[in-house]
Amino acid sequence: MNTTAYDTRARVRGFYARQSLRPEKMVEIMSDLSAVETPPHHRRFGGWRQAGLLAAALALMGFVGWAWLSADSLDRVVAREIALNHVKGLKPDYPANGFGDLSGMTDKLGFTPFAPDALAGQGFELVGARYCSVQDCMAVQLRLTDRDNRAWTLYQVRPNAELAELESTEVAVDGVRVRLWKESGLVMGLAHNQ
Amino acid sequence: MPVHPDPATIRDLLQAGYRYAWTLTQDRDAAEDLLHDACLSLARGSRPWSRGLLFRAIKHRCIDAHRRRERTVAEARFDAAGLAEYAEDSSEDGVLARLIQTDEVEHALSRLSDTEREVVYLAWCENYTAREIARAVSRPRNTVLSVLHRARQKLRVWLQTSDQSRRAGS
Repeated sequence: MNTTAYDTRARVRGFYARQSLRPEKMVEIMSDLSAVETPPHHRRFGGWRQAGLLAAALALMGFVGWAWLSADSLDRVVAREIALNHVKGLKPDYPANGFGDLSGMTDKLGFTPFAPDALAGQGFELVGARYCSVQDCMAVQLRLTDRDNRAWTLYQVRPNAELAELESTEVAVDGVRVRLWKESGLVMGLAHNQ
Repeated sequence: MPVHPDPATIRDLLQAGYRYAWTLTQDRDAAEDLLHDACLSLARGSRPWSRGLLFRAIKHRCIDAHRRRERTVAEARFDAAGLAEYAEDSSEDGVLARLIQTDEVEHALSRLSDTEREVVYLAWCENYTAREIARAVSRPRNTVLSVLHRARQKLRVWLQTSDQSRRAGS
């Protein structure tokens, strides 16, 4: 008997149908949810609650107005996220001597990390890589060193519609200089300490 | 759907969320922890509960966990030969035969890439459209279709092979 496409699908569905959350874990989660959802003071102070909600709404409007006025542009938001990750200096999960060593990351990323043309001939050496995200898009964080053995961090991310709007720019954030540009359909971000 | 749905709906969501979390982690404990965290985060928010929102919360936590450590891969792997021998000695052939087949599917799923497994689960068990899956996995729709096609072919071959091995051993 051949395993037809239909059989394959039916067997996978059957397998998943047999996987279920353990009853004791279900009880634990439901119990935690009800504790979060029914704070006792909500029931005792009905009138005050409405007044509180109104005050909260006014405060929220104020906050939204303030946030709108002080909102960062997208490039600055992205640069800040990249700078923060650069400063953390997390150890690469995947040590590498060259980009060829990172082909195993392709499946998860949807692209293969590569040496950007924009950095050609600048003497950078690849140390390793780790998965990360930029604005909720799956990205790769590449640790580089320059000729003076200083640490640089290069990000490569396949942009969503929002990130695709990024223009090439260079931004300084809290002592970190971040350069953003697009190359081969990816957004690149290069960070180093000033 | 109301912000906090009724308990029956939540239970249904929790089971679906658990299966999705298992798809991403392939580890019962890790899947339960992801689900627990995601549910608490949704409960503290004000947005209406939905399957898509829960799945997104689970996935974000999975990515965060991945950053912190290498994903825990289930250590127990299917030993078809050993289980088949045990099945021969048992009178409960029907139950054991199903166990063997379950482990064959689990083993086959574990050989897929993370993306292939996620796409298969969303397409076959959650009946997502290709466009919905594309949004969930942040890939173009055509890529999703080819990933699903490739995964279907792999699963078919692997399950056929394990069926043949089992029959040859019996």
